[in-house]
Amino acid sequence: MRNPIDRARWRRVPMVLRHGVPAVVGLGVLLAITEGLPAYRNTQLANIATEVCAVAGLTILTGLSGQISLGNGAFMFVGAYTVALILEHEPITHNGWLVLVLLAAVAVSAVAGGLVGIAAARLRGPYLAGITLALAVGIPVLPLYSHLQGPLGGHAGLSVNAPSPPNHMDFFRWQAWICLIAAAITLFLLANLSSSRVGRAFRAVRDDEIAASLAGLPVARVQILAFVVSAACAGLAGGLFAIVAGGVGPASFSLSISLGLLAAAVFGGLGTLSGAVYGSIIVTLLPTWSGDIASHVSLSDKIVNNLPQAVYGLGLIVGMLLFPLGIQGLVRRLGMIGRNALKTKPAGN
Amino acid sequence: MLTLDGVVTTYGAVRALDGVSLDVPDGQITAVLGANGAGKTTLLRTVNGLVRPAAGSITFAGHDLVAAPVEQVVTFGIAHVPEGRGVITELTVEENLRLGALWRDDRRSTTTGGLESVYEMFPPLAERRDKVADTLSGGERQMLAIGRALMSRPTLLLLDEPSLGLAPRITAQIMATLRRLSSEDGLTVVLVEQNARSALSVADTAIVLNLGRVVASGAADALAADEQLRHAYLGF
Amino acid sequence: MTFLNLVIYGIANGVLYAAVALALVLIWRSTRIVNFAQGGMLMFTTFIAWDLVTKHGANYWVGLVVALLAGFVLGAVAERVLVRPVENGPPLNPVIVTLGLLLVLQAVAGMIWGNGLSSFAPEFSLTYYHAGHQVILFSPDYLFIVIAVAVVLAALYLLFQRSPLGLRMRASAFNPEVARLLGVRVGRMLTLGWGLAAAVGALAGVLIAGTSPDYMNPNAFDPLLILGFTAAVIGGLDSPVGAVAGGLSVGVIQALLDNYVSNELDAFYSFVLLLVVLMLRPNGLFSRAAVRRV
Repeated sequence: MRNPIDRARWRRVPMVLRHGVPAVVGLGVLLAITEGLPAYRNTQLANIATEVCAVAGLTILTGLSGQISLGNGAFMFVGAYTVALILEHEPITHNGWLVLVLLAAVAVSAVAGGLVGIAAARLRGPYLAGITLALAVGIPVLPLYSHLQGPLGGHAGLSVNAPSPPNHMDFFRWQAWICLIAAAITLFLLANLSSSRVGRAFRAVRDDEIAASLAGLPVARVQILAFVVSAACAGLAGGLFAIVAGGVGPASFSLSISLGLLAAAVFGGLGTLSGAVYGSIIVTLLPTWSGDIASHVSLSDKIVNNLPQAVYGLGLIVGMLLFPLGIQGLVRRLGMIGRNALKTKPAGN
Repeated sequence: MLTLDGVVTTYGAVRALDGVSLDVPDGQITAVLGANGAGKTTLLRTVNGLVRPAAGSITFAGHDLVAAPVEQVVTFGIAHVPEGRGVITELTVEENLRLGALWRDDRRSTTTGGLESVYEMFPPLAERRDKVADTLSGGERQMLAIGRALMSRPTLLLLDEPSLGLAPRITAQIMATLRRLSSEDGLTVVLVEQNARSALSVADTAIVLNLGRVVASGAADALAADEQLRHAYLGF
Repeated sequence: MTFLNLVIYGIANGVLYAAVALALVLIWRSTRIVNFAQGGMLMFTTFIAWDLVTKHGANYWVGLVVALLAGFVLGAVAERVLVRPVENGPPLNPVIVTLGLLLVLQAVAGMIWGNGLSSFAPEFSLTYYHAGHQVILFSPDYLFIVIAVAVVLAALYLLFQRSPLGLRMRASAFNPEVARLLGVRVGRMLTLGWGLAAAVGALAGVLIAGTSPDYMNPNAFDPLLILGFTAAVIGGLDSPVGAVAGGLSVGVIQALLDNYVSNELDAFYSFVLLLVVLMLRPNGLFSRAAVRRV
């Protein structure tokens, strides 16, 4: 893709292939890697893949359609409780059943996203940030309501019967597979969406709402659609979380989960799917890394436990002040510098 | 005396002022004329520091205006009446006026005197002193903006399109007020106007800007008499 | 009697939401930014006061004053260092920066003071007053809260409406360019505004921490931020008077819902309340027809 001709040829490749080939190849490599990994590494992979689903959805919403959401953790909550309510008593006996359960999580949270989106489409900037913040804090308290404590399990939450792996496959490896496949499908679909007419409509609305509506775009409907897409992704992530964690509880969906999603999207560079992957890796592994660092320099527990959050916070601030385009922007800029260096060298001679 | 020498102001690739040199004599009214986009407003914004020139020098009474922060310019005796009146609509009439004198440390002793003389000059403001400026008519807002500028007891008054959107009768009143301030109190005035006819009626000297350059300058009545110039640049 | 009692109780709590709402409104008015770090700032300054009082044996009033000063410094520094660079960029950037500051403050508080629960004993008794045999849901502590916030409101009113400094600050908030032309150092006014707002928030933090035992925790003040934001939005985000009215309404509504529905759902109520208010009047209930749209 270095020169324009290559790029034009690349553009002619059907979109499904253009995004499908990397998705399938990447997925194949990752699935192969899981073979030799110890259990905790596979769980880490599963956690990263789960985070990727949610962050990719958020980066489409905030980066592409320009609507901030501090509340996507609430949609994860919806997806996770949907899965938990279905699987609480019914163990998964068939893998097709697992797909249906996850689709149910996607569908229910998409509906929730649509409802919030209808409200959100009328709101701007800080109002939207504030109401989604209230969403992030307000929804996860619902299981504590006395009339919902029975079905939703109150503080203790609900336990989930984990799906059993096929053909004596390792349990943790199977969980990693589930999440990786889900993340690959999510990224593939979002990549197609982003380069489709819908993606262009998102960008048009983000860049200039008035111009977009003058050009005939139904602005409110486009904005609601973006919320639906992002909530569906968050719901899928919630469903995966319920399966990997083996249960759900209100404490799993604190405000810091929602803010962690935003941090990941910002770290990676808002609006880019590859950025969502980098950001998710960082945010998921930060607690492990800070634990490792702490054990080397023997820090107190108080510091270790709070280090990841301090890093998210600092990352958000530094990211906004120094690298508003995130890691993906940095990678692209470095790439451009490199390319220019290659280009100018022969000319200089 | 306000002196501009070879001032260049750019917005990106656009040269809004392209080497403007100008002497504004003390105690006179100097009109700055020209069509939309000729650089008139940019000239004022460059003088008071809201926009920084790319080249050239601007001095007033021994002060280098290119280096001075915007907040300091008023302390040199320069007051600015911005385009679109620039009254703060959320504040009351009296608060707007007091704001004009706030930079002075001796405000306690002089503000009331200043207020009374502004109310005397513009009686409609006196009646509405406790009303929010949002409720004023266009003409009253212009009076308020000028009154507020006078509260700082300036020696140089910069006005940006004071006649914009006002009825001819009100415009004439405002021009007459400027004339009186200049003749009786020795105030120096730079009057940016698209309405060349009414500006030339009160100005002593005038310059004409076109695409960021001074294309004509001289005594106001001489410019008004130059038919060719009037047709080419002033539209009357 | 129950209803009246709930209203009294609601107003006593609403006073605190009003103070937080006011802190948000002061900043919104001057910089068009919602300071999402406000909850973290007031948490941090309350911990400083708590540390002084409970660990170093300082007098309660010393702790309170130090919290207010620390709030002022925190607000002013935040404006200068973090907010100024993103002030004129896309509106998303200050939101993210203030959220980042919230996370950092909570993490640092956790590092210093831990993530457990601790109590911050109030200076005045929490025992409810009685009228004959009837309990009134109002205590000497709440009386102090109402008086303290009222004094601060009055002081702010005098500062903004009656002093030259207040006039400068209002001019900077409403029209920074004109204010600069009139010789007002707008940047300094914005810093001062953030400092004052954060000091008001710091007061609310110390006061609410005393209202129930085991209140102190780095995350405990999140609901206060959201209730304060709700109150500010009800008031129109632009109006200090609206913020106070909004705070009192939120307090009373919360007290009634807590009693008649469930007291586990406070956070959910603020979400629904915000949703209803913003759907009915996207610019807030008390806002005048948008004078200045930015």
